[in-house]
Amino acid sequence: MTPDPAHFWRIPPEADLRHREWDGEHVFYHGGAGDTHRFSEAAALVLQRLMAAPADESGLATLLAEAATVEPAEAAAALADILEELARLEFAEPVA
Amino acid sequence: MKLGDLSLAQLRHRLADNDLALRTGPFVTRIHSPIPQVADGLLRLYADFPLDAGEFRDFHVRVGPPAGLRRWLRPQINFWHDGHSPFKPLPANHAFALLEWGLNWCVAGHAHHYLMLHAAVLEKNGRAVVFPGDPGAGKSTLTAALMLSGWRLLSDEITLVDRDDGLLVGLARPVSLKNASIDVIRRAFPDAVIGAPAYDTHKGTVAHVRPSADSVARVGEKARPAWVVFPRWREGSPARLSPHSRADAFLHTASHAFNYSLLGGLGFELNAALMDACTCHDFEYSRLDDALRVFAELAA
Repeated sequence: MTPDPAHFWRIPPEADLRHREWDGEHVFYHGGAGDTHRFSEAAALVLQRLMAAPADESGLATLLAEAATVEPAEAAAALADILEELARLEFAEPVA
Repeated sequence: MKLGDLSLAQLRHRLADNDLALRTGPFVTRIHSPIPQVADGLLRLYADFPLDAGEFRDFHVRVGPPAGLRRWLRPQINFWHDGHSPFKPLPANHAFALLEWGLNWCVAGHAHHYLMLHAAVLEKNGRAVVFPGDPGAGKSTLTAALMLSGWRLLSDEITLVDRDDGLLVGLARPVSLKNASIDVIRRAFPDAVIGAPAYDTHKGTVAHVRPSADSVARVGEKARPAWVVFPRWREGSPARLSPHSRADAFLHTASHAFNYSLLGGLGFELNAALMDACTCHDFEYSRLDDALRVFAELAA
């Protein structure tokens, strides 16, 4: 996936996400669904960014690349998997 | 007035007349039962608990024979809460165990002003240890042993987390032992008061240990959580604590809680605050005396 600067993601408004981190492990609670999940540090980084405000894929890929000190292309591939999982679990969604 | 101030005859009379209100921590339960085993068990295991003379009762329960022809052919017993029976009838000699399970059911199903975790909890020197533990892991054996060694029992089955301050609230009801653990505790603590065993229950043989007088006297004192420990008895294992992921402990306690989902975001915040306040450990042991030494060092 090539990150699209025009393609924005957000936390679903009904999600009312809550988050805790212990020793590098992240747990999120989806208030709308009542679901609790543990996510990887990378997914948690994306979620925390989206909890602050909607963000575009390009910005999210840059965030991941800088945090993991990897090439942007590698971060973009990981981001695609992360967003797919977050969308499947309804913890994040593309902005229409 | 304490339950133990009554004679056995007086207790049987009051139980039969639906005139006994027992306070166990924050709850008052009116108990109605014509069954002698129930009176015997209560006098043996709840003697230090106060009777309540007020007007309000949280739970109205009855243990008695079910209606119908069957009771004449095969003596059975059932439990009712507010006139409804959540369980199938059991053999008559399970009467006291059924009362205990029924009281757990009442709390777990109704006390949603607390976060309720399926875990034991004890306190020493102002700090509490929470034992989530899977069934058969040795949680109740360790709980009984610690209580009989001076730790204050808050609960064997249900950890109540106060939604206002995150502190742990006690019930101090008897500890339920199963199968081999009954004799383990008898041998290690010959002075422990253990109720009559109920044989061939769905959990095997079950017997309850009387809570320490200190646990009952101080049941109103909330406790500050300090440790979440997952105990596991394993033959030949030296007693040792090892780190356990707090995220994993969170997910375990949440998935085994009685009302985590029901409380929604509050359940998340209360369970998270518990993990914030605690260090989490696995604990393997095989010998009770070694286990008690490790916990004495932990609480020192």
